[in-house]
Amino acid sequence: MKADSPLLQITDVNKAFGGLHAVSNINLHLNQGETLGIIGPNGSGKTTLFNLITGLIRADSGEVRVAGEDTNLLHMRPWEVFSIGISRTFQNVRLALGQTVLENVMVGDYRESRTSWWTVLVRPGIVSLRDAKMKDKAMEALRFVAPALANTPHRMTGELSYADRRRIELARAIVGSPRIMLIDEPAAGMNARETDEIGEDIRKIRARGISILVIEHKMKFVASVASRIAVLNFGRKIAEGSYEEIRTNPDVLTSYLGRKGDHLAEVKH
Amino acid sequence: MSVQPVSNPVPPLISRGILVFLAILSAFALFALFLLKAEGWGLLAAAIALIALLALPIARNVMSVVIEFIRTRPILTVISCFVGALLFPFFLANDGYWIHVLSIAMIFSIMAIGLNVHLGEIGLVNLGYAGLFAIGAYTATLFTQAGYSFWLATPLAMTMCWLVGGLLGACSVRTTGDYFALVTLGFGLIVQQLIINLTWLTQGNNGITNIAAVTIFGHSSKSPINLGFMQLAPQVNFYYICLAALTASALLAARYQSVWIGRMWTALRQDSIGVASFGLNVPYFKVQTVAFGSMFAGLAGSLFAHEIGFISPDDFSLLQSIEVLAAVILGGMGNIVGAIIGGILLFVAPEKLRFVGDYRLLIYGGLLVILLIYRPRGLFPDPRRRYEKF
Repeated sequence: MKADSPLLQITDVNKAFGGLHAVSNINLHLNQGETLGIIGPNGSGKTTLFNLITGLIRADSGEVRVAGEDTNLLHMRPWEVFSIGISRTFQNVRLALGQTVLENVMVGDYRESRTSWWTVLVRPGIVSLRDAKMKDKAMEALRFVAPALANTPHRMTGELSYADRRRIELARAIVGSPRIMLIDEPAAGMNARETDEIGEDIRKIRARGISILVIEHKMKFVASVASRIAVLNFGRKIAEGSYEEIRTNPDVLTSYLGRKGDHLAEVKH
Repeated sequence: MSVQPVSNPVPPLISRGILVFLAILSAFALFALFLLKAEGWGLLAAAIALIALLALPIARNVMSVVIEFIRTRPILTVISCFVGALLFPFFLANDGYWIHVLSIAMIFSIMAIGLNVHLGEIGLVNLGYAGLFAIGAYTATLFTQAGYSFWLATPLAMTMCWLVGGLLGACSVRTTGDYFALVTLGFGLIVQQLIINLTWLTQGNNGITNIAAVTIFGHSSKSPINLGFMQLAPQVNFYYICLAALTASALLAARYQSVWIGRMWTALRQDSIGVASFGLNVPYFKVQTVAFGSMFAGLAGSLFAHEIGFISPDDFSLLQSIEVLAAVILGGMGNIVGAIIGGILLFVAPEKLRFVGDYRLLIYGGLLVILLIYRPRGLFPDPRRRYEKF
């Protein structure tokens, strides 16, 4: 593999649900240490793309490769994708509400605490040692993303606000020290201050050397975290480039920002 | 200077501990008294009064205090309960019938603990648990009939159930919820039909009779225990075997609940997609879990066959599966203590209701419905399930 090849290369990925082409011929790449923003109207295939990459949905065709790995990610199951260093968050927060904050974060790299079923019975020492290590890692991740939550790690997740749950998701996604993080609408449903804080978190995560793909609706937010932006519409990539390039791209204006096609945008919402 | 609280002459921890110990022992004694003495319509009135009491808001508070205490003093509670259970044959005044009923009730509780792993931990509704129970019972019986010791046949029966459970899990790994229930429903029926029809192996509908007694260091389980000053009824032998098995089962399940496996169980039940994206091989983990939960059926089956001394396909019907399911739900899904108490209550209640004759199951069912109306999450709800839908 060439040294200058991108960390994540997405080539000609296709997925149709019946007659609907949710994702068609998407080509994207993510460089080492970069944050790539993906924007697009509702239903443009952003989340589907994430689900394809992480193996939650089977793609019809295409290739997703990570530098240094031989396998096409599209042929992997979700847990295999995770094990080569890709973690993610979800648009609709997927946490166990009946578990504590800490337990939820510990799920993020459960392999750290994993032992055989037999070991659980015959070598309790190993089990508790690994558990303690795992706890330290989870606390460290929690302090990194959500210092306020790190003070109350034993609160039930179900008691927490939506913004806090999103922070827990971020902590859970970094605890396994991934190479790539896919973040799906981190600022959805957050107020201005919380949005700024999440943006700060994402910049901090990138500073750790983790490359990030982020889906977001809020243009300003994407501009503040991503160095490059790709725009999807109806499952196709219609533009890619810096924030300035995107902002002035006529296709993007029509389909997404809705300046030229204001009447269309109104119908859609 | 701030006011100092008056120091307690007795260290509070000890006095409170002894208090709890005595309270638990008296609860056992009361239960024994209830089993021996409560009879007829007065009993029914008492049961209804108890359920009405449970419906009061204060009952919820009392229960939560009790549960909180169990949570903070787990070892003391377990030891007290164990001592209470050890002394229970004496509380029952050596009454062979009730000691026998309680042995079977404990076997039932072992099943509830196993089913709780499926239903309570990973949310799989298993309607074929009696099928696994049957496999355990027949495997153990066939081995002891062939001359092997009960102490060897039981682990073999557990291994068998573990394997069959793994197979069942592997076959149904793509299904969840209602569909898993359907697969297991089919499984239970298949097992029962196989037992009926494989007459060369199982003797079909006639069942297997004269299952040999168990010997413990040369002492037969059919002979009374001579303590010197008194003779314990022969049923006490199995009572203690079942008690040991129940304790081991509860500790085993609790152990797995307390380590990473339990954490992943809850995470998996509450969001299977989330955990799959964090490195958990969900199908494999599910198969392991279903196999683990099925293993308890092997233990219960072996105990059941040797305690009763006779097994036939009728013992392993769909109704049996549903009763175990009811025990887990009544006790509070996900809670091991709940599974044990649910199992014992559900088994003992119909025995106590024998005096109403044919109306027995009607009243039993009615009581269950009323109880679940007032405590929809069971007697001991699992706090981890607070945010889940019913």
